[in-house]
Amino acid sequence: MIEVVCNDRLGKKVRVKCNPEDSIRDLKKLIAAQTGTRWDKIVLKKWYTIFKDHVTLGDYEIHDGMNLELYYQ
Amino acid sequence: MGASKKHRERGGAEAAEEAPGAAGTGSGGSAGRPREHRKHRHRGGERRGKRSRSRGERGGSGGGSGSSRRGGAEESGRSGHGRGGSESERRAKRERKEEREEPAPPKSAAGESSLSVEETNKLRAKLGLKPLETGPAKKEAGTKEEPVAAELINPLALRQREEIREKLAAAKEKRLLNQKLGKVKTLGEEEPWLDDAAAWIERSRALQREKELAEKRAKLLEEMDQEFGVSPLVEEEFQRRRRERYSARDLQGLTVEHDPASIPEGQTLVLTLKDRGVLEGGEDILEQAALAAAARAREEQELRRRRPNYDPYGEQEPGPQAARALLPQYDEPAPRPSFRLGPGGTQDAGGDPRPGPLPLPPAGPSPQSLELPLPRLASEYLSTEEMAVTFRKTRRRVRKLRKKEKPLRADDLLPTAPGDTQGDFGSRSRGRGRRVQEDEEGAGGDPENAPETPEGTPQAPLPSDDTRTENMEISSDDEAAPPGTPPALEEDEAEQELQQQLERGRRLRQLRELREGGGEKVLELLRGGSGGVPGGPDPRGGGSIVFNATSEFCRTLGEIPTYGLAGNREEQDELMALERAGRPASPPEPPDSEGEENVGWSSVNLAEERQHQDFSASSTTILDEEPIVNRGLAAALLLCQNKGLLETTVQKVARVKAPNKSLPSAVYCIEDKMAIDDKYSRREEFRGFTQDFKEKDGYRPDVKIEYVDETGRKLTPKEAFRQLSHRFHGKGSGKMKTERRMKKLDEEALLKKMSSSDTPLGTVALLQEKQRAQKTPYIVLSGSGKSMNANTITK
Repeated sequence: MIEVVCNDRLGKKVRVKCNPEDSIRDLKKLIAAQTGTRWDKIVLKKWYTIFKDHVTLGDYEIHDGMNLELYYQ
Repeated sequence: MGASKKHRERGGAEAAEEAPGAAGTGSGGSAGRPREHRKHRHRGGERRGKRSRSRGERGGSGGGSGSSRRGGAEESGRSGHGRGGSESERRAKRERKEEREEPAPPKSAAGESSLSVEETNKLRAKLGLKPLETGPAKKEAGTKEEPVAAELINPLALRQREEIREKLAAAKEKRLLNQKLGKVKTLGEEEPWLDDAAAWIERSRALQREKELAEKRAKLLEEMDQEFGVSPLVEEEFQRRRRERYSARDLQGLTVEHDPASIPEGQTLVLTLKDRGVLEGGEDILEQAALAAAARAREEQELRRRRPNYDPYGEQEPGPQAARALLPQYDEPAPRPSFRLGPGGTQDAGGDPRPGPLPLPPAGPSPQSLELPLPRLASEYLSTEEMAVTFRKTRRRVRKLRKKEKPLRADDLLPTAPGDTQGDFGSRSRGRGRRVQEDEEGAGGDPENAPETPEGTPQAPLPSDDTRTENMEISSDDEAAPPGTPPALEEDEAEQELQQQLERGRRLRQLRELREGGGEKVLELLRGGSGGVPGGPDPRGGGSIVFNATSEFCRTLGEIPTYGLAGNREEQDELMALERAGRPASPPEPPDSEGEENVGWSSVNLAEERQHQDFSASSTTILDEEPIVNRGLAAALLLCQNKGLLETTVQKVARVKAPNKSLPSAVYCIEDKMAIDDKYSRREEFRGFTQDFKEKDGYRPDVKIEYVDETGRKLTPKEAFRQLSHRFHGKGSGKMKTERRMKKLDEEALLKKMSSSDTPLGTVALLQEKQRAQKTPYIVLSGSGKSMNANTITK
């Protein structure tokens, strides 16, 4: 289980616990549950890399405690 | 850096928790304790007590305390205010939340929200995801702060394991092979009957016995068959089978697509069926693969080599090739020689092994017969076809309405008449005079008429070249005939007219010039123009001017002044003579006295001056138009200007010079404050406002102090202070620092430019653009679009 921090620099900062085998879509759903937006409106980025929905966190090498940027589309 | 600190802090706290089992908080807390700042020790102690605290919350509060430790406002999310007192009540709130398990995620001091593990698991269950895996095994051993020694990788052990594996595999393979090959007898195996006679005898006897047994059995079976009456059936069976077997007689009638002569004797060829389309009807054709390929190759080569007959003039009769007039190289190949197999699948060797008589060489141009067309009676008239062929319609060139040019003949150039070679062609000294003499004879008619018929020319010596060129008149170009030529019959009336006109013009001009010179010219004319106008080479007299190239040239140069002016000179003398004659009262004759000489000199001077004037006037003709100086003041001024005698520079604007003395000002006075010596009087004077200071009511100061940097960006307080201190201390940051700052500013600018809903390269926008262009809701990235469908897309 890893914990990922998602910050959108506008006041929303969320810590989400998830498995490395979860996909980004699952992570987005978790984030959405915590932030109150819709999961398909969320874009997770790290500088210029947009994380795609169908790839797992392990494949993206997202480890425990990593910060992700939260954007909206 | 700050982040790492936070992590460290949190990591410390987490590691404290994550120590094996959740029960070890006491020890974990003590382990984590040294990391905490002494200031917040008490808080750590309190925290230790709460077991049910979730990790996230702990981390959140730890993060909050960590940020407070740092002191500065690093992140806006971390609110440093109200930490002290509200910490405890926040903790209480958290407990309450845990108990109630509110759906809303709790927010820690730092503004984060995180769920506990149970809550997360519930959420995941709701979403349909697996519950969280809470296993320490999943995490990597140790953290950044507490590195646990990883187990040693023993290369030796690894190698041994590999070897064992290999050996096992090899043994297995060997076993399998042996099983397979075990049945095969090796050479090394001994056959007893090979060496030993007795064994061989044994063997052969055994074989014999076997055979006899087999025969007996067969006979028995036959008898049995016969008993049952089955034998004829059996026989039939065999026969049928034999009949049905495919044999040579089945090959009867098949075509073999080769020349029977090309199949060499005594050789066995394997024939195969020729390739045919599936739907093609027809019979099978046998062919030998290699021979067929060779034949095909030969055909191709032939086609490629043979180019269509190049026949640019259409000389060759089409002949036998007329059939394949159009693109013969693409026609179907000619059918190959073939033969049919006779009965029994055989065929006579047929045909000579030797090649037959050579075929006739292809006919080139068709053979021509030697028969000529029969002689016909020639017709006197051209038939229409012949007319069309032989005669071409010509165009008549429009003739110019000019008389035909007389071609220059060699005879024209001959200066000498056949009999006259000793003619005097004129000398420098005498030539002209002679000419004058002889021309005077024929002077009258010469200018009027065209060059006369040279009646006198054969008798009198021919004029020299010079004279001839001189006498050449500048007239139309056609008329290039010197006067000595044979009579020009084609002299037009127009030419004569032209000559007359020119003559008149010349005379008029001359008259004008004479008149300009003054009344003296008129007098001269009246007196008689014959002797009075000795204008240079004027052989004809009668006031006619002859132009010749050299004189004209010289005239324009100015060396030879115009005829009129030249005449003027003489006239001047005469004028002076007249004057002298006309003014008897004028100063006495020069031989009287010197004074009179002076006067006379003066008078002469005057004349000379006038002369000079005129000369000056005349001498300005060099390479320039004659300025008409005596026409008026304007002309004279123009002349002066051209000569540069006038000053045409622009007057400079008068500049006001700085006055040496200061401007006297009407109203001012210099006050000398130092003149006031005593302090008492100074005390009394009032330096300040004389007006009352009234407070402005209703004024609310709206101070907005904005600092900007050189690019115009608004500065934060920190940056503004930095700017101020730089200015105060007189020095800025060093090279490294400024570079870092620039980089940071650039990154910020880049970040601002970044679109939140798109990649920096605008990929999404591009994709949408492409979609719009293609009018499809999808984009095919690569390959063919057909391969992608719902079945192939996997997660």
